[in-house]
Amino acid sequence: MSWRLLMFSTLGLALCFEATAQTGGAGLQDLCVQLSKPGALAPGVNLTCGAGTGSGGASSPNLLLASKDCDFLFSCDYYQKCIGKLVDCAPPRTPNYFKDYGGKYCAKFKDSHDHPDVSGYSESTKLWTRCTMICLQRSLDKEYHCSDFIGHPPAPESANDKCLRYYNKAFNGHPSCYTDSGLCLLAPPTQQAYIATTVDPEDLITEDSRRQILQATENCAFNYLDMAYNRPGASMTTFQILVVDLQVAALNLQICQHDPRRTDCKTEEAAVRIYDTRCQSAPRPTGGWDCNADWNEGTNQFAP
Amino acid sequence: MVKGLIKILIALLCLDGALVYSQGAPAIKCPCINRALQTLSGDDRQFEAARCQLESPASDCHNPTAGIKTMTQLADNNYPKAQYLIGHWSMSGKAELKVNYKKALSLLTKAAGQNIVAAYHDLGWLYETGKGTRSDLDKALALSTKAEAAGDIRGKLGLKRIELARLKLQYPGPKKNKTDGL
Repeated sequence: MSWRLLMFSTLGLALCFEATAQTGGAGLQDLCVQLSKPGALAPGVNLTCGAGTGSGGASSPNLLLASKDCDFLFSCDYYQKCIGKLVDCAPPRTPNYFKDYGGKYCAKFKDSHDHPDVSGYSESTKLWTRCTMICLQRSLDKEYHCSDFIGHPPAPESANDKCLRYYNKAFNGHPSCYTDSGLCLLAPPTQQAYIATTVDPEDLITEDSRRQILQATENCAFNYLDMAYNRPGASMTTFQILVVDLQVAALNLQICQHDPRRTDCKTEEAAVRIYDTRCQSAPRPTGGWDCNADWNEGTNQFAP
Repeated sequence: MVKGLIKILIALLCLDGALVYSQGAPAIKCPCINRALQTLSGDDRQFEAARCQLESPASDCHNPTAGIKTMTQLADNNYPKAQYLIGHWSMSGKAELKVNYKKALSLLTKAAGQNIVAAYHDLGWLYETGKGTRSDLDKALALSTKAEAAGDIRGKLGLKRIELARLKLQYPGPKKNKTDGL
């Protein structure tokens, strides 16, 4: 339990910032903004796909979106009743991403989404869940359109290879879906920990899962860097400085936990809690560039 | 419809940023570019104009494609701030650039060589993680130390990460759970 939480709290610590919607993936972010409006996507409501969904289906020629079998977009039925039917990964073919991972976790996350009293999911985390579901499904959808519908790859592919390709494609799509959907926006580390507890430990420790978590962490770290330095004119705010303090505290805790000479890490743990509380209660920046800020020639940094 | 045409017009104007404005084009809602044009000259002016084009999508001067093009040209011309930004974005695949660690390494090295403080941390991260180059914790340490000394608080993070990495090398065994509360 503590391993799992540590991993996600580390992830969360990197995320205590306000990643704004204007960086990368604006389409998805726009969609998320739309979905965040009251009543846009009530729990349990299945939007139909195809023309007029507002998800891009109307303008992009996409086999799955056009298929009558696939009115399941935004629902977990998508995995087995839609893509799972079109790409046969039934035993003995392995791995079956649709059943063993995609469908399974879609159901688990949806359950957490629909029962926030049990899961602890905040409204933001619920929104993240919805956006991530859409993102993951759309990334698979795109793969189907590109590689199967239009006849790519050119070389014949065995059913097993095809399943493996989807498996890899799906896993590779996870980190960006997580972060593009606003994982970094969630209040760290608590909400990330709630998300972590939705995942079965045996799945979390697989190499593929580790890879996606690390990649998501990396994405979030970069998002954080964007806020601080990447976008010219953005200056470090009190909030961001608190984030760095929190990250340093988290690293101190990890250092302690890896050091066999240390007997306990209570001080480091307490520090993380203190900075986490401060960070969560600090006013967050609204984002956007500050065009009034200038390059500071003295320090060679973008600073006011 | 009219609004759309205006936006296209603005985008075209922004494509040529500084030049168009300096020739007396009608003022548009882009105070960011206007300010750059009024107060700067040469590469600084182009850099600021490109920054404006890379601004929030809500802005009328938003034109990331043109902004990146200008920024890349400036980086090619050895303009250090642009080298830093293109290098940084190449690390993270932002601003319409694909992740390219080797390119990031090259540009950030140049930017750091021209005393761009923000480049120290990024370059240190590349050496720390072995992206675009062989992992070199000594170099990473030197760069993070330099970043911290220059006032970049991310340097502190780099130093801690390196400390952790070294500890993991020294004690490669499984991590012990010394706390159960987090």
